[in-house]
Amino acid sequence: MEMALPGRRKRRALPASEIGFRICNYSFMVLLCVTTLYPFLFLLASSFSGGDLSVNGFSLIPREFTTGNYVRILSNRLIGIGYKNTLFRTIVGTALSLLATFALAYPLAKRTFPNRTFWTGLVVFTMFFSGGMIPNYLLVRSLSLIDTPWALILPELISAYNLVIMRNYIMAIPASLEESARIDGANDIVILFRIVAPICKPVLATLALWISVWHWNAWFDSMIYMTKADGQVVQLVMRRIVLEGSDQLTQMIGMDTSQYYTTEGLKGATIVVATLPILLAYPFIQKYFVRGVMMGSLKG
Amino acid sequence: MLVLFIPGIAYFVIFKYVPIYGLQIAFKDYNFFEGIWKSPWVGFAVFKELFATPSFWEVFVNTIVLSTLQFVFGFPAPIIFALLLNEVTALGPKKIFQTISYLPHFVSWVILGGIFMQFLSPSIGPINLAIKALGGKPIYFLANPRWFRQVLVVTDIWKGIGWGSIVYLASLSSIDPELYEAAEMDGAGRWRKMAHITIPCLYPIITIMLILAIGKLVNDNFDQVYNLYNPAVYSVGDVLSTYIYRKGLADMQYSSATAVGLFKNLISFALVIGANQVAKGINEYGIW
Amino acid sequence: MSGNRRKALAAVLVLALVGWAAVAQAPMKITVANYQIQPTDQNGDMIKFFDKKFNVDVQVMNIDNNKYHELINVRIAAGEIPDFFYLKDASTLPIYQKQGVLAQLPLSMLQKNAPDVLKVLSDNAPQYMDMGKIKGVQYGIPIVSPTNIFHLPLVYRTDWLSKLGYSKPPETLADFEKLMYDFAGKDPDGNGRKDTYGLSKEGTLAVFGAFGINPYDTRNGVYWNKEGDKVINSAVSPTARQGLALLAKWYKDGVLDPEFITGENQGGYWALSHAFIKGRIGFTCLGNYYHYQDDGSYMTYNYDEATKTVVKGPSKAENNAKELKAANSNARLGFGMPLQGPAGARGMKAYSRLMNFVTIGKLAERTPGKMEKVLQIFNWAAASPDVQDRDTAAWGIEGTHWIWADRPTEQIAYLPPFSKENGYQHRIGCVFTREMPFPPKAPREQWAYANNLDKYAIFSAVEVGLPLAAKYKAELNKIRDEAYIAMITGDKPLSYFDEFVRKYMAAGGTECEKESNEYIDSQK
Repeated sequence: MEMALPGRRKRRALPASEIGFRICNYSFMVLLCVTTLYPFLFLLASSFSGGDLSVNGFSLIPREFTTGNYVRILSNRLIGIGYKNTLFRTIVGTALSLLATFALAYPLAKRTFPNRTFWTGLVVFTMFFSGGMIPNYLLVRSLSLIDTPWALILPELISAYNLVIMRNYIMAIPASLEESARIDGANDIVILFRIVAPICKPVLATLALWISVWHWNAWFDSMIYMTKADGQVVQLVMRRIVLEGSDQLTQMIGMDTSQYYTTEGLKGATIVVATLPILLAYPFIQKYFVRGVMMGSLKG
Repeated sequence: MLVLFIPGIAYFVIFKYVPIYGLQIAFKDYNFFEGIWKSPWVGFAVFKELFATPSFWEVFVNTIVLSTLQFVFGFPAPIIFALLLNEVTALGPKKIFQTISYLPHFVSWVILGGIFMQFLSPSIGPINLAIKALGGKPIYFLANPRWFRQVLVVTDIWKGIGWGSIVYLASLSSIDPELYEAAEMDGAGRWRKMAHITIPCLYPIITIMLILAIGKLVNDNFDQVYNLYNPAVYSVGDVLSTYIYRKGLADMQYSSATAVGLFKNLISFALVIGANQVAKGINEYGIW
Repeated sequence: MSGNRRKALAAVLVLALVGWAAVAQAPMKITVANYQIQPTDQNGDMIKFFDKKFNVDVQVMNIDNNKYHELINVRIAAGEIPDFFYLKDASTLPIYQKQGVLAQLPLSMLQKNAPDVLKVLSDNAPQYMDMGKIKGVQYGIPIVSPTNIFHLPLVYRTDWLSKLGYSKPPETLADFEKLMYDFAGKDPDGNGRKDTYGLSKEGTLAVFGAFGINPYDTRNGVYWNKEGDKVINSAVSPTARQGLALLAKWYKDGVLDPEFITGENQGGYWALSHAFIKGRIGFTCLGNYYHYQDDGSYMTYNYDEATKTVVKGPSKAENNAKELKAANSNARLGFGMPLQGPAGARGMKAYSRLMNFVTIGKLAERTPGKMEKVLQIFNWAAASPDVQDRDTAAWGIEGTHWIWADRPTEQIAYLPPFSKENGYQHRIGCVFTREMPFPPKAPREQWAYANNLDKYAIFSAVEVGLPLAAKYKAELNKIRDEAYIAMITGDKPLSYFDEFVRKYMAAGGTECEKESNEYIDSQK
């Protein structure tokens, strides 16, 4: 008897409704992707353009093809420092935030934890009410965090929003999984990391994505808390590159400073450079969003 | 357990609760030199002045209407998209679709504004060219109060659908495939499986996202509106954040800015509490 | 006195003298917050230069210029008030003064320590010094733009003019109207389609200018027009009504671009008029004169690395001129004069010359001599009669960062690698320079003079930002913008103007008018 190869489904004819559905679904997906891809392709084309591509009705063909925009960005004195700072805050910040959020979510998810409703309420309250820029600045200053990378990591270490999502995810995990480990004598921390964490991979991955993207794109806190040039994050460096050629400056001087005008291409290039790392990193975490992968590994 | 709990709570107390004294600015005539504590107390004068501005209520209503529309149509959209994407079984295309769909999330409205302006132009925009070809009259979408809201809602959904679906895809990935296999053996088709397995498994995450989204109803999308609006559509498109922006920072009215913020946040908080109670009543999931 | 005691006394005296000398000679610390393109390096060449020349210790507060006031306010709230405190937004002067953040600048101190500043202001822009006063006391030194003496450009498609038989741009409103109708109706681009219009949103300013007013302004909310002894708000003046009537007629007749509502610029660089570039309209006023510089408009000087000399060459077409030619190689553009209206008024909007203020922070008063020092440095850097001083303060050391290209026109050329780095001057520490209204000598401005761009400029009668005007600005502008568009497109009849005036005045217009008139009276 012929054995079906492991993992291969037996082929059977697809019903018409199934084909119909697939055609519709795929068409919709393709249409959506074409439209969502367009602005990005435009930015790409613009980033390789010397001229202002908006004049050509946002066409996708670069005008006056040049790599000059990228050269200008990557040869900026501060770009290396910017990347260093951003990488540090993204990697360290994301790791710490995940750890802290996960650690706090777990107790708050346990039905047996005393006053958990009160503490959760305390956290949720902060989602809506905050003191504003000035008290926050004064606090960071009094903790001597100004001009340190911790000023970029600590103030937003745990987002109440993320905490709520994580907490609810943990709450949906059946208690039976933990009980067996507890009977074996494991303490809370061991349970958290050995048992609960693997189950939480999807939500951990999602939060990791959100937090790292936030860190990568953040620039305003760097503007307030870092007073020296070598504390800038890469987004701030790029903002400045773009603003360098803005009019406020060129209008004043009264000389031919047209060579400094920021081309639209430069703006496009900064966005491409900013987004590329996320796009490159995403395939690595995409596997967490694939159907059925995680649960299967849980059995037994 | 406490080892896990204390650092986290300490963080919230230090970084979130200590600075909260700044909220009093809304009730004071803020003076830099005096600082927040010593500035003279004016009670509700700031709020009264704010509410007396003729346009305040108009822009507030606009904000709420716009947010509600964006919520009603925009909340389900990423969920539906996630479900549809989930039905794509071929892994390659699925990954490609997913990656491309979230690209607009990273493009700022400054750029998208210009693109849409040309796209929706009554004379040269593709949409109107199509309308003209079908014999209709071109519509000046961006300058027509009857169409402006729709433009805002549709473009906002389009921009966020891919990124917003990620959290649902993550949840979908943790559904036990054996459930599906069992259902198939019972002869369940695609839609049955979705209705009886997929969607119920998503209830927890949908509930949470719903409650949190309701809390955001008073917020508006400054970047989007600012880059698309013009005086012809102020009546429907001018929202709180754009109005305050035009008031100008030169005002440096920290008191009124804080007052507006406090006002909005109180409403958000109330909405969330309300939504939470309702959700708990229905299926026991809630924020707390 | 015994010998030992005498020696001890002498030792103490010597020590005291040395100590006093040390303290007296110790460089004074001066904190500076200024407009910057790049953060300043604390060891920059020019920081060292200023430290040495004036015996000070310059400490720069690096504030990102894009969110300048937000960020500086946070620092002030934390108690860090800069000594040399530049106010990027001129209308913040009364607010900071009210908060007690600024030091008073007595006239005697200014005369003694900043005489050149006073002279250049009184010679070229005398009316501005008073704008830095609050209730008669000087708090800020006005920074007056030397180039805003030129009004906004009136730019025509000169190839369309010749095609339609016009030898030069119109000078009266009546002629202008005729031209606009021709632009719209007589197919000036010769393509057989009716796809052209006369003008769009920006061009409407020229129409109002012909009535002597400017009803739109983005910075201070509104321009004030002198009516005899008083001033009235341009937006609600009777002449605005006449302008609107004309525009409504043109809209109806298809002469005013129906898409004027979303503006001429559709993304990309803000000063590009896509409508003009694509040949949809034949007249525009968007941007400033230098956005229309063409090939050969004036001479430029650049440093050529290969030959290590300064090379003189014709300017190249930029921005609108460049894009216009790229879209259509036969297109040409040119400037026209402000239009004269039926009542004899003639003019075109010019941006206010008052850009910002330089002030001194209140904390500087605590150290004797500090305020004088700050004023002396500023005086030398911004207003020294010797242009060599000013250029050193602004661009760095001659021979290292720049060299003279053409002294009579005060043109300099930047040396590499600095010529490739925009904002290098701020990085090395040129932080005391601000614009002073010296009559511009540069070739680009000579070109503007040659085009008579300084004639018939319309400035607001009240250029300083007043508190009530700032408070009601958003509300009043909204009412005005909505009403104007409605009346031009015909959504509302022109008779609505009276109701619009009523609404406007009730929403704060009356109070602003009272405030402005009080200000005018106090300046007499």
